[in-house]
Amino acid sequence: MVLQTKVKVCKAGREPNPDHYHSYMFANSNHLTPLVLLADDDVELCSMLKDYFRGEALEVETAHDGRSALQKALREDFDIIVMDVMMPGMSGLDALRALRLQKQTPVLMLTARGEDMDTVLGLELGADDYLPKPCNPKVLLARIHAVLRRSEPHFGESGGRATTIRVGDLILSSGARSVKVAGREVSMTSTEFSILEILLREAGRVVAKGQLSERALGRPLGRFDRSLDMHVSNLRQKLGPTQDGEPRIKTIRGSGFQYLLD
Amino acid sequence: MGRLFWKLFLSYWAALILFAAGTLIAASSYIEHTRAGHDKLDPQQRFQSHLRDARAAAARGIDNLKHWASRIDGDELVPLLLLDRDGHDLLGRETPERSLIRLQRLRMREQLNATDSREIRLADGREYWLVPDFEGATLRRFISRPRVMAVPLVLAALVGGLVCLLLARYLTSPVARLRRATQAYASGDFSQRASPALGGRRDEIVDLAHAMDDMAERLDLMLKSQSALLRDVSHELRSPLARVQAALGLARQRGGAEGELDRIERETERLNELIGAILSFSRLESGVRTPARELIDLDQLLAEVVSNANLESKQRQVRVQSVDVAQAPYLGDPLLLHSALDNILRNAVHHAPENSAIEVSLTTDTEQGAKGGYIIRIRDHGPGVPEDMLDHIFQPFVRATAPQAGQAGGIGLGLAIARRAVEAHNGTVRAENHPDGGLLVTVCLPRSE
Repeated sequence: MVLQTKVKVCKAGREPNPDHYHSYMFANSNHLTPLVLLADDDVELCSMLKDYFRGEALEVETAHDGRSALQKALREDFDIIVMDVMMPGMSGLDALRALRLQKQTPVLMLTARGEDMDTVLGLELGADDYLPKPCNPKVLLARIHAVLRRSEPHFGESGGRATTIRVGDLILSSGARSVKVAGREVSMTSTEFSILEILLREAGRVVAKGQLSERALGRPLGRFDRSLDMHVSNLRQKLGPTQDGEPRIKTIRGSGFQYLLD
Repeated sequence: MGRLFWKLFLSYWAALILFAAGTLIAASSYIEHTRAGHDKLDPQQRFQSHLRDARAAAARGIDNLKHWASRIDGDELVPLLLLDRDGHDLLGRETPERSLIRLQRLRMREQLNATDSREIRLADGREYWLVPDFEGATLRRFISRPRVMAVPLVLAALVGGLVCLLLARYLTSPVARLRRATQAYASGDFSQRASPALGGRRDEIVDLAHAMDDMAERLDLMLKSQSALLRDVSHELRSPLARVQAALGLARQRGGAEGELDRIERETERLNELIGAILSFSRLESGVRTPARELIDLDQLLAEVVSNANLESKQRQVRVQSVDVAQAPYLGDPLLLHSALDNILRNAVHHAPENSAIEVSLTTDTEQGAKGGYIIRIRDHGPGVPEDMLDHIFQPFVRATAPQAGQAGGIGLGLAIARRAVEAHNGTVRAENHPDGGLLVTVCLPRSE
């Protein structure tokens, strides 16, 4: 439960650096401006945030209920979906569940403050990150950029070059952002991909939680933030055990995670 | 008049009637018995047989005579006095005037007619006369005979005892049920209902139980609607707050009035925190969320809380030290426990003076033996809390000290949240002033089964 936490302003400054995100390669046809789907039932809030994001060089489309958000998300290729959990009709969580059956579009969830179960469930369903609502738009913007950065094909860890990492029966290619286990393609969210890539690069070594949070989520580890644990648990499930039946990623209590070498 | 009234009234009445009837029956049967004895022998013959017995006893000594006399005194309704020459009774019984006259008459008659002697002569030459005192057969004498009174007394003890036992049981068992219910209400559990456990009874106690159940229901409803109101208000405040924040973002994009905007942003954050805390608290309070049961390392969790607090307290030059942190696997809800410990530690940091330390310790509760859980102690070197406030600081929005000017202060829910979170693990939180100054908060977590 994240209580009484002063929302910390993340790395992104008040004035975002245009160079920073103009280097992204985006899923939508317009390669210069990221396209955001903002799904929230508060129409007024949506229109204000739309104006705000436009000022920060983001293109925004809005949806005001889960069903229309899902339809739009399936029809168009957004770079990121910002989804409120509490929406009339189909909830944000249901829309996310349905979306993940077909698409791995990055999703940033807005959860109700104090509803930590929503957070856990959302991350389990494959959300890339979450933010308690109401939130500071600066923080939301920073989170959006963090998610966008890691969904970009040439994201940080590989230094812009497409590389292939092979550990046991698992092959990760950073260029195509694809993961194969024993020849079988495993689909995952961009956050899960980033975490796996870092763990694989450090395979056999323990990666501290704080470090993993900085490198994969682009933000310092929050006060009792469970999102890393959730992402890793999702990864374990998707990758399955090794041929010896061992879990691939080991949790080192109190320090971090370790991808086990054979 | 209710049923209990009639039950009490009738049972006492019945017990008294039974007792009286038993006494009467015993008395009459005794009288019948005596009369039957009288019928067998005429009084003269009876008297002669008593006289023979007395002489036989006297032949064996004075003690035997006394023994016989007291035995026959217990059996016979008519007192048989054993008078000496001066009219003193052998057993020391009071000799009425009429018996003395009778004795004198007897002795005069004996001198005339030696064959009709009532004299009993002992070996040492002492003489006694057996004199029946017919007028001495009084009611007082009748009821003071133990053999006569034994039957009605035993009967009264049995019947009265049984009636009283049933009555006492009947009266106290529902009262005990009522007491358990009130105790539950006192501890905040308004789900208890007293009347269903009382079965098909219909009396004043059940009426009381129904009244109490109604009261509990009303109280429960009132408390629930009060906390629901708080929750709903907080819930509803979130939408406008989110819009304020969005508007703030837009205002910043346009630039200008940075100082004021910073201030608005800070206050909005505080409002946001407050709402979040109220919502967390009301969720804990309403018990909607059942705590998870995960295997966690309590020592690890505490270390994490301590390191977070250290990061935040650096600006205030307060050191948080963990002392004596043992290995502590525990089955509980990590989020709840984290928020509990975090809130207590933040409170300590908040009240700690500059350049002071806060000591945190985790020990196994050895007092409860192998089943014991853990004890976490958090002690600051601050001003402490007035003794009369110690129990109240865990209530929502209660502050021991007035917030200082210019200092934002806590939200006023931290310790309340901490207590609810610990209580959700069946644990307890206690605050006391350390003898050497500062506040010591002790969290006891019983080992989860």
